[in-house]
Order: sequence, then C-alpha cells, then structure tokens
Amino acid sequence: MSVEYTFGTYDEDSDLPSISEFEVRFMPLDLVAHWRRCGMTADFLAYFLSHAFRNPDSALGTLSTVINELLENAVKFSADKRVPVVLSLSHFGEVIGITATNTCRDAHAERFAGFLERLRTEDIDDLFVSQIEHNAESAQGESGLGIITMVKDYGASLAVRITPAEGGEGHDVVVRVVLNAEELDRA
Amino acid sequence: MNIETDDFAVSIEGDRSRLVGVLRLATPAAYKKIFDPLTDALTANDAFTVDIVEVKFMNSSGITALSRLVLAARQQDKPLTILGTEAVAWQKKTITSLKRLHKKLTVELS
Repeated sequence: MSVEYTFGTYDEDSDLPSISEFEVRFMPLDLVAHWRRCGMTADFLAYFLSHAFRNPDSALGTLSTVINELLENAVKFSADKRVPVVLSLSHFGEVIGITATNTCRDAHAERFAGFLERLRTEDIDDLFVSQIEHNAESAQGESGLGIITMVKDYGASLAVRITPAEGGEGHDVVVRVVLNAEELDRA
Repeated sequence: MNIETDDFAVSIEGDRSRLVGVLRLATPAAYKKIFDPLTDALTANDAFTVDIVEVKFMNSSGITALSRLVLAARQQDKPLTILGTEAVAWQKKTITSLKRLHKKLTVELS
C-alpha cells in the first residue's frame, strides 16, 4: 500500500531568502525515553526566535505550542525510533516557517491522509468538536487535535506532503506550518 | 487529593480543582492519572470548577483529556467552570472552543 498525498500549498523550493535558520535532528528514541525533551526543545527554539518580535512573550507562547505539537507528532508517529526526525525553522521576516520531517508506518500515512482530507473539506469548528467526541470513545493517540488547533486558533497555514519512503519501508511525512509574524506579535 | 511533579501540580478540594505548571504528557493515557480524580470529584458534586490560570502550556493530548472532563459534565448534566487567563496563548485561543461541547460549561478568562 502506498500513499501519495499533498495538503495545502507545498512549495519545495521557496525563493524567499530567510533571515534566520535553525535545524535540529533527533533520534526519536531519545525523546520517547525522556518525553519532556520535546517541550524543552520547543521552549528553547521558541525563546530563540521570540527575540525577533516586538512582543516576545506573546510570540513565545504561540511558537512553543506550535513547535511542540509538530515535534511530538513527528516523534510519536516515527516508525523506527532510530531514524532521525528533523525539525527546521526559517524566519522570512513577515512569516515563520516550521517544518517537521519523519518516517511513519503505512497505516498511519493512510489515516493521516484521510484526516487531512477531512480538514480540507469540512468546517474546522465542526471537525474540532467531532474529533473530541471521537477521541472520547477511542484510546488512540491520533486525535489530529494539535493540527486542528494550529490552523483554527493560531492562524497557521499548513502544508503536508506524504510520499512512500525512499529506499525503505513506510512513508516520509513532511509537515510545514507557516505563521504570520504580525499575528505572533499580537498580544 | 494532590499530585505534584517537577513539571506540574494538581490539587482537588471539594468542588474545586487547580492545575499548575506545564502539562505536556506523552499520551492521553498518561493524563488519566490526573483526570480520573477530577472526573470522580465532578461526579461527587453538583457542579465543578477547574482553575487552569497557572497552566503555562498544555499539549493537544492534555486538551483532549480536559475535553473528556467537559464531556463527562455534559453526560452528567452538571455545570462546569474553567477559570483561565488571556495572558496565556493556548488558553485564550483554544479553551473557549470547548463551550461548543457543553451548554453548561462556563469559561472565565481573567
């Protein structure tokens, strides 16, 4: 089974020059073994970026929340916990791009594409409620709630690409979130 | 009932509870040990209040767990109040959306 799915405007080679860049590679195993490392990393990267804003405290809260959700998902859904996940941040001035890359199991790729298709076609407020009600009856960790809140509450523009993993099992997943700098500055 | 860890603290007294710190646990199951006692306290009272003003961060698994408490209040047809603050991004942006789950949910943001 192979899935090829693209959500949103996925611009692989942006010509926009970034004014600041940061990339971190993790062994998922290290973060699974000590889960709070996800939050520590998110806080650190958010703090690093927040100094570029007029209202650093407001930017910090949003950046840390979004980075943490992307990192937690990338780690949680990594098929092989010894294959690195990559988290990269680019500050383009008016927008901030945050990208998480990981390799997931085939079944997850299929479910994730299905979820994104719902996100694309359904009303997001209704989807938020329906996912919460669905979660209440299931013990699975795949709520999609992090993705929904990023788009619904943080004005994030979301792009995802799911492709069969190069030379291996599973699927490569790239999740890119773009946040508006002006929105981040708003208290 | 009190739970205290390096990252967060939970206290329950009668019909009120207070969560403090950073709640970024790995799975919804990990949240059970915090939220099961809250649900029990809700069940034992006619109404219940959860103070999250000092919860700096809560990940989406935590929001799922908090939503389950709201759904439990709906199922029991009881008023639930969440006390939060506009000063914390996730509270200001996401918590009011939970009102759609339960007519008797009040969200007060200071």
